[in-house]
Amino acid sequence: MLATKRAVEFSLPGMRYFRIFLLHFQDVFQNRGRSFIYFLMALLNPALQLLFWSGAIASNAGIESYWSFSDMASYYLLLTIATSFLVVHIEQDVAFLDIKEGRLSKFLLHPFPYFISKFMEELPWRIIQGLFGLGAFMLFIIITRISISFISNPLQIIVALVICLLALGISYTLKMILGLLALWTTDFWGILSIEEVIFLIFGGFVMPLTYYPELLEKVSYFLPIAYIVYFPVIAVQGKLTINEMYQVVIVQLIWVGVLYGLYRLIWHRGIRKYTGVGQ
Amino acid sequence: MKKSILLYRRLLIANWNALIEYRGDFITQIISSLVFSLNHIIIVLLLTSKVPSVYGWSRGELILLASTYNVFIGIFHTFISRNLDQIADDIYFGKLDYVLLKPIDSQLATVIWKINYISLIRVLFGLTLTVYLMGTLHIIITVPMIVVYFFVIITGVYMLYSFWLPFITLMIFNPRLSNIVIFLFNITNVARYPKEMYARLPLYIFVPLLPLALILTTPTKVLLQKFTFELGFLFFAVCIVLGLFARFIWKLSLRHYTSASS
Repeated sequence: MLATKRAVEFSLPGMRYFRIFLLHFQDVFQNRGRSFIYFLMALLNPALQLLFWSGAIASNAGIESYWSFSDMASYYLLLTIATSFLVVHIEQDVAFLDIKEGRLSKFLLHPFPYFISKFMEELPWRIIQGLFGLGAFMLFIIITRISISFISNPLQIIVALVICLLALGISYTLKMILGLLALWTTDFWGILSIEEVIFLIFGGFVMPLTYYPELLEKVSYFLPIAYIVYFPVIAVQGKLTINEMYQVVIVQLIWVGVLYGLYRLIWHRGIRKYTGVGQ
Repeated sequence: MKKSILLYRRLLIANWNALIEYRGDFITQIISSLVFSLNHIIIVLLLTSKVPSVYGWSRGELILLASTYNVFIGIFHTFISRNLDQIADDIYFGKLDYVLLKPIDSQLATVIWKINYISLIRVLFGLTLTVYLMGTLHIIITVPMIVVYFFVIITGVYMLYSFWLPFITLMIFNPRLSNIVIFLFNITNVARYPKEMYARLPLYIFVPLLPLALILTTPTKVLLQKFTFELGFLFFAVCIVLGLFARFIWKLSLRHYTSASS
C-alpha cells in the first residue's frame, strides 16, 4: 500500500524534481557553514560601499540630494539579500565538476533535463543564503533602528515578486550558458574573472545605476545583468512606478526567452564536443 | 642557505615552464589579470564621480590607493595566495603530510611551491599608474621614498599572509570550510579603502579589520608624504603581533591534523 502510494507520488509531474530538491536541500543544510561563508561574501561588498557612502554623505554637502543615507542603507541591505537569493553560482560546478572532470556523463544518463537537475541542485543554496541575508537585514534594522522604505501596495508586491522570480531565471540561465562555455575552452578562469568584473560594474553592485555616468547607465540598462539584482532591489524599495515595474517584467521575459534559446543552442552544439573522460 | 636558493631557483624555473606550457591559457590569464587590475580603478572612478573627497582623501589620492592595491595584491598573488589555496586543498584532501614531511620549516613550506608569474602584470600596471598619478599630484619621487614604499609593501604582504594563515588552519578542524579561501580573497577587499573609513566602526569590528586597513593605507601615505611615526609604529606593531599569532595558531593546529581529511 505504502509502496503504491510512493510510486504514485513519484510519478506525479514535478514531484520527482521536488524530491531531487529535497535531497540537495539536505546536503546544503549539512554544509550550512559553507553557505554562511558564501553569505558573508555577499554581505562584504555592500557593507563596504555603504560605509564609503556614509562618509561621502557626511563630508560632502549636497550629496544627499541624490539619495538619503536611509535610501542608500536600504539599497545596499536589499542588495545583500538579492545577491544571496538571486545571484546563482552554478557556472563553476558546470565548468569544473561536470565538464572538466567528466561528471556530465552521469547527468546525460538521467531521465531529467540537465537544465532542471542543476536548478534543483542550486535552489537550496539560494534559499539558505537568502535566509541568512534576511536575518542580517532584520538584525541591522533592529540594531540601527533606521527607517527603511518598502513597497506596501499589494499589486506592487505581487509584481515585485514576479520581478524577483524572473531575475532568478535570468541569473540561472546566464550562468548555465557561461558554464557551458567550458566545452570550448581549456582554461575557464579567464572567463570567470571577466564575468565577475562585468557583473560588478553593470549589475548595480557598486552603487545605484542612476548614479552612473549617463552612457554607462544606458549600457547597463541594455544588458541582462541589471535585471538580476538592480531592478528587483529598486522595485522592492518602491523606486519604480507600477508601469515601470510592468516594463521591467516585459524586458525580463524577453531576456529569459533569449537566454534560454541561446542555452539550448549552446547545449546542442557543445554536447557534441563532450567526451566522457572530461574535456 | 645556498641549498635553499638553488631549490627556489628550480621552483622558479618549474613554475615558468608550467605557465608557458599552454599558450592559450597564458593569453587568457594575461587578459584576466588586466581586467582585474582595471576593476578597482573603475570602481573608484565610479564611486568618486559624484563626490570630490571622502574621509579626507581626494579622488586622485583614492585612485593612488587603488593603484597601490594593484602593486600589493600583484606581489601577494605572485608568491603567496596560490600556495595558501593549495594548502587549503591539501588539508581538504588529507595531503598535507607531503608538505609536513619535507625537510624545511612547516610554515615556510606553506608558501614556496607555486609562483604565479601572471600576477606580476598587476604589479607592472600598478607601478605605471602610480608613477603617472604621482606626476598629476605634483609629488616628486625620491629614492628613500621608493625604498620605504617597497619595504612597507613587502611587510604588508607578510601581514596579509599572517592574516590568511589562521583562517586556513580552521580547515584542519572543519575541512568542509573549503570555500574559506574564496572568502579570504573577498575580505582582502577591505584593504582597498582608506583606514579612516573603518575608524567609524565599533571597536570590536575595527580591531580585527585593522591589519587589512593598514596594509595599503600605509604605503600610500608614504607616497603622499603623509607617513607619520605613529602610523609606522602601529603598522609594524600589528605586523609583529599578527606574525607571532599566525605561527602560534599554525603550530597549534598541526597538533590536531590527522591526515585523512582530519
